[in-house]
Amino acid sequence: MTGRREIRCEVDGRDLTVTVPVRASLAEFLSRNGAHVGVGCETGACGVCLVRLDEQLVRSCTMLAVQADGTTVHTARDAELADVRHAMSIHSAVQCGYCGPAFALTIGELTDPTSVRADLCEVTCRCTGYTGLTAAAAMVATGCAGCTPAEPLRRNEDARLLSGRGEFVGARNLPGQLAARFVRSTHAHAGIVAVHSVAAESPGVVAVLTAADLPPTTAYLPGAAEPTLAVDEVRYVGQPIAVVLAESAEVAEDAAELVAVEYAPRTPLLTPDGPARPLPVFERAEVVLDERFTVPRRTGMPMEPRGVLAAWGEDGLTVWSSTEHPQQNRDVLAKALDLAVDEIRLAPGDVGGAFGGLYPEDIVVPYAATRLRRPVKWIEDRDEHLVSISH
Amino acid sequence: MWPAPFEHHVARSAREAVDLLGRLPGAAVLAGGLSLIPAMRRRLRRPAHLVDINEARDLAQIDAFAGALSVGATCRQDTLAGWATGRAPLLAEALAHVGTPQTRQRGTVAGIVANGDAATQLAAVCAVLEADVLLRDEAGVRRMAAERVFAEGGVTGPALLTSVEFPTWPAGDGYAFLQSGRRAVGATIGGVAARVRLDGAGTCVHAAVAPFLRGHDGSRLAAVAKRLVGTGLDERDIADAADLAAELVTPVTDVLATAAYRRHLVRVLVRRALARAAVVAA
Repeated sequence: MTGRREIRCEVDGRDLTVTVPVRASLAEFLSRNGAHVGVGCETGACGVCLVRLDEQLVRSCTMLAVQADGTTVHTARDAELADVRHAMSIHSAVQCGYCGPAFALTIGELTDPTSVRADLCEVTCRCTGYTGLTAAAAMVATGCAGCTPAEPLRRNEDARLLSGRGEFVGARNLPGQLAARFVRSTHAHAGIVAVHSVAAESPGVVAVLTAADLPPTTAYLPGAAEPTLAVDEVRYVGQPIAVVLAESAEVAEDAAELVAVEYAPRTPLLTPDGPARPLPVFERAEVVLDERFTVPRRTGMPMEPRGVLAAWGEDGLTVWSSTEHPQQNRDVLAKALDLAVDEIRLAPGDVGGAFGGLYPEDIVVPYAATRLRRPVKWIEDRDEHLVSISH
Repeated sequence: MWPAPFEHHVARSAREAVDLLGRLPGAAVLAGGLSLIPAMRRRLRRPAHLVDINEARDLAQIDAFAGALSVGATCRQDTLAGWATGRAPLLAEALAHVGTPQTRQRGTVAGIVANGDAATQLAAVCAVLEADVLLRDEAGVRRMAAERVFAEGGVTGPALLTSVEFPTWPAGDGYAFLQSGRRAVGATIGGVAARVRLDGAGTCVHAAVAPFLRGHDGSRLAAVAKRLVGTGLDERDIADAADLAAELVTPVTDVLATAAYRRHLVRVLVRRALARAAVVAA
């Protein structure tokens, strides 16, 4: 009973008999067995990971794979949703497409056109596609008059995005890949006294890298704005300190917990308050507006968790990542890894939001792949995103 | 976001579940999983064993018997909401605010009580309805006020919460359930459940008001009820009761709202809820 168990279930019409880790979520099990399901929050709130389990739509992140033993599961790949896909395509109810499969499944069950706005709040879209979604949902709820499932969908990408076949980085896996998990600061401001990487001894762990392992070119984001892995101090909760490379995501996460960071806490500076020095320009200005503005912390919050998959091969480095500016990332990587630009390929793929930015993981993960000569995949979780992202 | 390792045990009856809980130290009960699994994935909870009661058929029932409604441990929120419509109006109205239609098909009523988060809708509803829970362990079955379970932060020890019992709703009672904010899943800003009973002359003979919000332990505000009983629930009585409720609660600040805002909210929502309940009762 410990650790793993064999389950049998039907997934998208295929009979599967698979031994799964007992702690695997249904979403993870499906993704590892040919029916990738995107996750957004992994805590049951956003609805992105919806699948149909027997007759019910369930959030597959809050169910265990072992609970699906003996059931029939349909993802958006297989569900009979031709009309729904058409309605969504006609009304442009798909933008980045990451939440598209969940909306397709939800809309497919609607029968009351007067409540579609409320019904759509099962799933969260961050590209603000609700106007199109509402129109598509109303069309489906009124019996799909005007749906033309025999005709092609409006955009080339609609078919794959609305049927759960989006080419997001999380859906991509390479043979022999390692999973990366970052150890992050738990302090807003502190000195780092020591990092004890006892986790490196754990079975399944291949390496634990800290700032001391990085060459100088890799050690900082462009402009020396921030070290890619914290050196001797941390300046925000969530700042990466070390990265664990392991044979699976669960082993990496277990091992990351074992990396002990000794901190010397310091008082964080939380506001820009302080002795202000008036600039000369203000003294000469005709009008001076003196006002205090308060801005809350804000971020883009894409539904797709950030992710990087990097592989070193004969042709150089190939990187799949949830970025909207592959050329910029390629140029930064070339400098950071001391490679020629044409030795790096930022491969195309679907991106589930992103909203910009270049972060330490975008450099550290490809570096690990070149150093270890194995593909490395890193997919953040939502809690990491909440503490590590800026915008 | 993987949970720490655990073992998973399927219980096919309440007895099996109780046996498993008795002999597996550090076990947690898995029903709908909507709170437990996310907490485990975040590694905020690390039970060594999960006792999965979803296949225990004897725990799924809703039984209406003389004077009470018994809701089994795996009864889904959606099932109870359907049953309660027209029979237990406050319960039906509150359940419409718990999660989304999809999560209500999966989430259980008893699970919310067993989890004991007093800032959730059912804490206030259980308090106002004076619900009980039945807890079963190897020593036997004991009864406890649901209000106490919430005040204690959930079921502790190797006990199975087998059912929640709601006293039968007496026709003629007035009620209201109000919640602030649009968030469907997860923590809320707060809300209020209220219930009043009038005699033939329009005098309030029973009142119960319970807010649910971060910082409050889920209990009925006894002093507020005392201020209302014996009155005609006129505007002055209701306003005084609302002021009193706002004074009595001990809200806290979190990412969703400040303590001051929540206190203000209690004043406004208690006033509105009592006004509505008085109309319904009349």
